Amino acid sequence: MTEDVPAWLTSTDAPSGTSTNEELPPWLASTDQPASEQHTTQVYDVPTDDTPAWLSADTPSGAQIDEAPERSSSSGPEAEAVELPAWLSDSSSEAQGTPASTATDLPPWLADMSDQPVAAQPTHGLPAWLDESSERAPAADKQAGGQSELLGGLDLPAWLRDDKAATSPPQPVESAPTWLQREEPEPEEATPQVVAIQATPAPRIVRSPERLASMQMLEQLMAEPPAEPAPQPAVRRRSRVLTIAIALVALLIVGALLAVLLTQRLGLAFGAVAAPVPAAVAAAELVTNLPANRPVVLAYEWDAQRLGELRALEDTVVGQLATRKDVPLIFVSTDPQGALLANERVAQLNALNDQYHLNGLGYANLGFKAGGPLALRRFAANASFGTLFAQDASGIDLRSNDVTMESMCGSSTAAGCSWDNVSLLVVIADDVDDVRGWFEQIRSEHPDLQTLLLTTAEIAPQTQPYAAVSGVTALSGLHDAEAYGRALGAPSERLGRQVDATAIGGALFAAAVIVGGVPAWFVGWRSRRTNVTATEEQAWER
Amino acid sequence: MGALVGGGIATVLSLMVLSRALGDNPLYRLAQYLLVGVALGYAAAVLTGQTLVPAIMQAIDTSPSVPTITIIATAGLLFVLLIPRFGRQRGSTWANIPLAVLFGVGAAVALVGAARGTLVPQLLDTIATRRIDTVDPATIAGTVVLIVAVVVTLLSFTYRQRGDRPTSGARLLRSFGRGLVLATFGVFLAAAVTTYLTALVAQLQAMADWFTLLGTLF
Repeated sequence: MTEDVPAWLTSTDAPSGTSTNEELPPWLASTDQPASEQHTTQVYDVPTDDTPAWLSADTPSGAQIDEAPERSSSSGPEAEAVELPAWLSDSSSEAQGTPASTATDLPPWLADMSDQPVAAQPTHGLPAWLDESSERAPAADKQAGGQSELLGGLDLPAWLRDDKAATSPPQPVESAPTWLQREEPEPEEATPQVVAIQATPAPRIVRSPERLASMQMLEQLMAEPPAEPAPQPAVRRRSRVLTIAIALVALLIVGALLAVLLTQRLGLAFGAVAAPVPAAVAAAELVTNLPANRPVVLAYEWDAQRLGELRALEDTVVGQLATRKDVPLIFVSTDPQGALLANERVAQLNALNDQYHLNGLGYANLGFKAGGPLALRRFAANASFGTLFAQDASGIDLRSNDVTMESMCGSSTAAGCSWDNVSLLVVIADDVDDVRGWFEQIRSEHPDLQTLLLTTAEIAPQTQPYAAVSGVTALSGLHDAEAYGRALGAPSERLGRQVDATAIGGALFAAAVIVGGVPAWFVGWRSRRTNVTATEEQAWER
Repeated sequence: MGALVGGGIATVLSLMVLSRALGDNPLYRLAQYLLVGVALGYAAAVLTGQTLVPAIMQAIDTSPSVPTITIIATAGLLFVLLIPRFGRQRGSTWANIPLAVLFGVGAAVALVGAARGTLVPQLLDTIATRRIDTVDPATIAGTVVLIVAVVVTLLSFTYRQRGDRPTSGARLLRSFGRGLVLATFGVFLAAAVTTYLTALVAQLQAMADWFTLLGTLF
């Protein structure tokens, strides 16, 4: 063990019997050695030859180390042999003469300990730095002898300071600096003492005029009273008179509609024959003159919520196509509800039992095609028209059915299918996007494809640009459906009454708007005037 | 019998929906939820039955060709990449790939279609010589109205600096253009009112038919 230690360290090994010095170097043992052991007459033989010069100069000799305990407990010239600062040596000498060195100034518990024989203090077999009792004694001695003045002025945490220092501050030393003599309040036990750092003077801040103006404005804002909250606009509750008026108008319209629907036609044309609608006439001629055995593609892109308008149009157009019994119908949809309505129409065709409208012969229900414009794009090319039959509404691949392909395409194979064989494209839609999809993806590929556009009256103005193209015929709403029937020479009494009801309803709605618009305009004008007056008054008050 | 029951259900539901005119009430809400739920349920059934299941069954049952396998494998890979988008979003960056393919292809198709099917045809139709090369005064008048309305409407949206007060002529032009825009919206409103009135008429007709049918039983 000692072989690994340098010689200068082995020579400083503590003597046997001192458990504390075995674990501490001599320079640390000289300060932390308990009093009980400091009173022992062990002399450390420090071979200064092995130590460097800078260390040997500071290393106390064996005599000095030996005299250290005496310096703490008794006075004598030996204490001055240690090169201490003047203020420290003075204090130690002063402390000798003061009663602080006696046991009477010590607290009772410490005085008792000082009365006990030094050698009798237990060490508990612990190192000195772990033995609290052994630490208290030298601390008390140091404090009593003024030896801890060197550390007393330092800002040590509470756990490093001894109990006595915590309870009784060290005696002020007159020769110490003023900042050391000043009594400072004892910090709390748990909180470490914060070292006061002298604050350096803050640099002078140069504020620009803009910043000064901003500061001034902020000060003004702080000085001003807080702004009053903006008055919340009063929630207007609909008056009872207005509610009753609206209910009366609604009842009036519904009553008028029922009256028109349940009676004979009103004869709104005042005896004159209703003028034919050019678009309806053109559509009727188009359907009538379709070539036989060439399929018609029916795009069902509408929902049941537009049943009132589009069912009438679909009934008239598809009904006429079905009565021909020589035009195969291909139902397809990119709208789930459209597929449902196509199924309904197919069921009606099946119910005809005319030996023509059979699945795969007179019609083919291709069902729902997911993807919207993307799906349409897949079938846009002539070569890809046959892929439409890859799956029908039942999930069956119709391309292997020769009868179906021959009937629908004029060719027994899918490769022979082409849009060129289609005689008419009928788009039934209630949404502009659906119309746009078919025209942008399909009809832009086949500009010569005859197209019949059936829409609601709501989107008719928006689909007008597509309807203006040559080869496209557009019908919209109930009115055109009734006109289509008239163009075919089979006017519908039921559709006529509905058209009359719609016309009456529209007229009543317009009357309600006009009649109700006068008081609404007056109320609005009065409200605006009141607001303007109130604003002017507020401005005047300011 | 079917017409009686079906018509009765339709009549009751129509009355429940029309009760909204008197204010929001539970009957209206019930009918609304029923209609929305049925529509969504049917759409889900259609998508599953006519889109997903046939493709899967085709891939399982038949011996697919190489192109079919390639398409299915690509679709499956894109689907797997889309899975991290759900749940805790771990590795959801990978889901951007199928979404990018979807939106990129969709945008390309829409763009090409819009150019070929809408923009170019309408532009060519607007400046078509047939609008001028005619002796029909109505057509000529329509062409003039078309040109003036388009120009004035576009000029009414002229950008100007804040505080830059337009001249009286410019103000008149702007007012005219905005008047045309309002008139256009008025046409749209009238068309929508026509559609809604037609729907109301159809429902009233259906209810009247049902009550008539009901009256024949007693």
